[in-house]
Amino acid sequence: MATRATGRSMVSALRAVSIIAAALLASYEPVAGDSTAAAPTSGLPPEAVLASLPLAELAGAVRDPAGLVVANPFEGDKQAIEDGHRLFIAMNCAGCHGYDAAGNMGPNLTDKAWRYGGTPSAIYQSIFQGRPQGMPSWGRALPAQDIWKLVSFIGSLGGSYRTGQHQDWLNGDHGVTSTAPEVTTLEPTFNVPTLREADKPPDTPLAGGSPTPAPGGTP
Amino acid sequence: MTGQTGFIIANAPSMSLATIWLSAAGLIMSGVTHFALAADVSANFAPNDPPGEWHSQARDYANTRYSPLDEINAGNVKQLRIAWSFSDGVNYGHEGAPLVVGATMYVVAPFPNVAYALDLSKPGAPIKWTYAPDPSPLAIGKACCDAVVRGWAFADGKLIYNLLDDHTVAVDAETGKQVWRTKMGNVENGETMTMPPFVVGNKVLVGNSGGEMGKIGWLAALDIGTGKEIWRAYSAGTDQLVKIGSDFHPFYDWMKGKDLGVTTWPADMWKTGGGAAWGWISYDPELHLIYYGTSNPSPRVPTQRPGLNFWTSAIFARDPETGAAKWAYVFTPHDQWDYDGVNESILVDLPIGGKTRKALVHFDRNAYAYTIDRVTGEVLIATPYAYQNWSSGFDAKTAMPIVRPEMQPKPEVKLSNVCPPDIGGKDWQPSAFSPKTGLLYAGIFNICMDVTDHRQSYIPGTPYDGMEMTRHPAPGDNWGEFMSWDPVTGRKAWAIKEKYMTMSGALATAGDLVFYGTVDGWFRAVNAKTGEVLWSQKLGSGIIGAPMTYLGPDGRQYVAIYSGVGGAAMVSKAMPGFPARGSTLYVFSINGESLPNGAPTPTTTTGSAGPNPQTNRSGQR
Amino acid sequence: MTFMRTFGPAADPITSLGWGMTVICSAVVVVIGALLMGTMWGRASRFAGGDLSQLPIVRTEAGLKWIYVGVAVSTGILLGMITWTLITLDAVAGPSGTPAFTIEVRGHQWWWEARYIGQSSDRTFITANELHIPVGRSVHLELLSDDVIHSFWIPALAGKTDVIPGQTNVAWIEAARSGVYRGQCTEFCGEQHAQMAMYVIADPPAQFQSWWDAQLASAPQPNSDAVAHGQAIVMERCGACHSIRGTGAGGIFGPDLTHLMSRRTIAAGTLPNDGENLAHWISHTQAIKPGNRMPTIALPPDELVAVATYLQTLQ
Repeated sequence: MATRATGRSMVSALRAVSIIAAALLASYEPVAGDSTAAAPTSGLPPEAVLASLPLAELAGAVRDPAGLVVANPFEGDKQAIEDGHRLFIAMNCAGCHGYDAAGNMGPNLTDKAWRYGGTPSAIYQSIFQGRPQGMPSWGRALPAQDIWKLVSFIGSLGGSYRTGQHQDWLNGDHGVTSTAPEVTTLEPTFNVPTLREADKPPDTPLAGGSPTPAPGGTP
Repeated sequence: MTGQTGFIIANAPSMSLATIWLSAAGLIMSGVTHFALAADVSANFAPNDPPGEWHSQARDYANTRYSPLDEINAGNVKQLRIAWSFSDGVNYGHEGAPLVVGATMYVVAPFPNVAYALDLSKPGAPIKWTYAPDPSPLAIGKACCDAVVRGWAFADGKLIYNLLDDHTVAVDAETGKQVWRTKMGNVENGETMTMPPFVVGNKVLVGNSGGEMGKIGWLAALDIGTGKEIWRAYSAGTDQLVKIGSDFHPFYDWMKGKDLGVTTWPADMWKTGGGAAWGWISYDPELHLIYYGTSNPSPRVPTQRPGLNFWTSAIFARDPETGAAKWAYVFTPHDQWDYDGVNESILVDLPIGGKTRKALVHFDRNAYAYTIDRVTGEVLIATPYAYQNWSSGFDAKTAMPIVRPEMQPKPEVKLSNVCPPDIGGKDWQPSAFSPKTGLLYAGIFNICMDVTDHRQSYIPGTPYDGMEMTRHPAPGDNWGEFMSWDPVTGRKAWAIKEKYMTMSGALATAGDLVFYGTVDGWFRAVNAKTGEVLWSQKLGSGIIGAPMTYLGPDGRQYVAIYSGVGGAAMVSKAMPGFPARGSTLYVFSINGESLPNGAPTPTTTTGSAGPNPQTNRSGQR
Repeated sequence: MTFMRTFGPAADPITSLGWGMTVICSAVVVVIGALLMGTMWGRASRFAGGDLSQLPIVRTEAGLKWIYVGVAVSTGILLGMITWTLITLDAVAGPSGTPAFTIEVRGHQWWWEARYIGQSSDRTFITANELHIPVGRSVHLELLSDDVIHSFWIPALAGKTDVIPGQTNVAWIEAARSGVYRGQCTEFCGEQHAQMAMYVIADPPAQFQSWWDAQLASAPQPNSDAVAHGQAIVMERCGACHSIRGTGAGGIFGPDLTHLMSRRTIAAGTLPNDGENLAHWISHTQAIKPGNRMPTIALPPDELVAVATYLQTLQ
């Protein structure tokens, strides 16, 4: 039989339960695997900006870095890296670039050698447009979100350059030809030793015989 | 190797007493007894090209890779030195062997597949002509296993080879001008061509690559004069596509039935089924049959394609005139580990059960060495030549392999220590046969893999693959091994373990020598009888091509081998000491002698009217 | 989608048991309630008006008899229910005969993939979200998941069985009458768990056979320029995730569309399947089913029309 005391404690119990339930519901976060949660749709760079950049701007001497400073809208988003990894396998990227992305049929994506540029927007462009030696064009098959997630994943592998740091990438570029396969390990910059004044050869040509090679090293 | 079950002489008639005695003696004395049977193993060396020349990759229709030259022999091979070398400037893997016709050597470089004719009659073998076909660079990113070319052919006055981007070209051997060029496929869909054409009569036989890209495999015949396609036989699909008709008589019942190339696949999956014909072709001119193998099924994730997946990982015998299939045998039905069936089949006649059988010997990717009756397709011997754990043997009646259930990969579950790995106990690197010893010689692997499958979508132009693998050596820690194989007993006669992979072809000569190369760049000459390494030379890069030998216009015997690592050898590239890429052809002779050097006679600048006749240097011309 | 009335031997015993227990338990409640009421009022009326402190203490044999009777009846009923429960469990554990065939059901976020395993390999095909089964024949189910735990439940036909990544669960299903039975994912699996429905349609055997044969066919070739234009766009924009057998579209990460128009709904039961809804879905996926893995495809209107035209040829 419910007495008044029991009734009062029941009401407080119900109150407590509802508070806990509300707290639980409020703390609910999307489960891992949501591919499009937290997508900053308003922050995406307009595709026209990237699409209108001629390739030469990305691959050669850069006068106008516009476009190259476009940041990945998923910068710092760990979920995007996971989603990008999932896409990397699902879209058969791993089949060409290796499951470790260290290269196979396609080039190594974990090193510092980027034939077409290694900044996030350059990588985006390569995936979006495709490239001449067999890289398919994904711009029509994948939405921009997914391509940026792939860029996030590739960026997490250590080989790419930071947004806007295209000069770093140019310093490391060693003129890979279009027919040579990728080198798997690279020094990021060349160390060109400079001759000390005392080691430089004299200005006058030496008479007879071959010139004495300067000590201290030649590149 | 021990404890691995195979079977020998599955359907043999009763043996004669003499054969039993000889077999018993062979079991007792390992090293020497096989010589009693050596004379019983023979091959047909048609088309019997001039002994000093080399017109096709395997030298003859039977694919023996045997040269009758013996000027370089076990006695003097220690004096072998580099005579001259040639670089083609391309750093992809070099998998082909040069051809020599008359006084000209023909080589084709990997992508972009420039062909060179080298004039052997002049010192230093200068370039006579080049032919630059300018194939599409799209092919580089569609070739699964390096932008290679696995060989080229000479016939009817033409150098004939495949471009990586699915064209077959014929070039006039004299002038280097293109005679015809036929497009065989669409590279943007993931199809490439790497195999050497094989010429039978007036037909050029070519096949595609693309078993990793979801491309259905095929073998086609082109007219040698015009390049027009005469027939094309697919490796999956209806009997009409596979060219299976009333002439088709497989030996085993499980290969009999209508449209097995469709019914052994889930709905429509045969269309992306693989079975590419990217390997070697042999030909029996008496039976008028060609033999070749088909690649793995596609995708490489077996749970996506339940069924026996005909006709992948199989060998076909076909009529070269029409392409009609005569018999077939599937080495690895419902292949789950990428065991292509494309390795070479060497045609030999050998005694089995007291009778001489027309057979072929085939070292398959699945680590079994097969001796198959090449008339009927009956499997006579199937025994492992390398360590394997995917199967526990064969059903002796049906010759179907018995798969060990625990070695079947499931998606997203790592399966460790699967042996052999995807590249097999032996990959495409071709073996050789010596009629003097009756043995076959091959570079094989001692490798296992850990594999995790991931279910794959088919997206045209991208891999239809799904196998994530790491490879490591099998017990023994050596990645490679060069062996000699007795095809009568189904046993190795001797074997040389190599730390690095042995992925070169083999060359056997009448000088009792066998030549092979290692992936770290050692080119070796071995005593064909005993396996003793008689001579070694380190080359600039790893060796994955096939050696050949020829007589120069100066009457000297030369041995030539390309050095330039790449291809599937890259699975071991993390090994310390793994070489860098290369692009150089090395040509060897005794003491490195060849045509005298091309140095012009120098003129003097002080006083005298002209060159002093007394300073004529003898031997210089 | 009621579970209180079922139509197949995989679920009928459970429903009977459920109703039976309800009846028994209700009867028990009524009887006990009546006894309780009777004793409360009865005792009160017998002693009305007297001095309660003068109540005689009467011990009679009748008291213990009540206990014996009560325990005996309860035990009997409970034992009966246990037995009935065990019989029911046995009845639903597996089909009585050999199943006609197997369907491999794979749960994805947030749709259902089904691979029908045929007698020969070439009769094996893949479909999505709508299963057909023959009336009166049992069907073996293998349940898998690629991502998280879902649960397969057709309330009118079969009980719940989880689909768990890394594990293959087995179940079976059978419909005693033809009809359309709706099902639902019953294990919370993420944002769109609530819109992860499926349909099981039981057909008479002959009709079922022709359905299977029709599902095996490849997609038809375009019969007009407009359809061909639509196909080209679909190949480009959709083929990386969806399969349409007979074309170059071979994606396995979205539902197989080869016979899209043979299904009553799209997006796992979310919308009825007709041309308008197709176009609406494609251009508003994230608005209709927010968080689901299909991105909103921003097509210009003429391309959207072409795509819908082509998709409607996939009967």
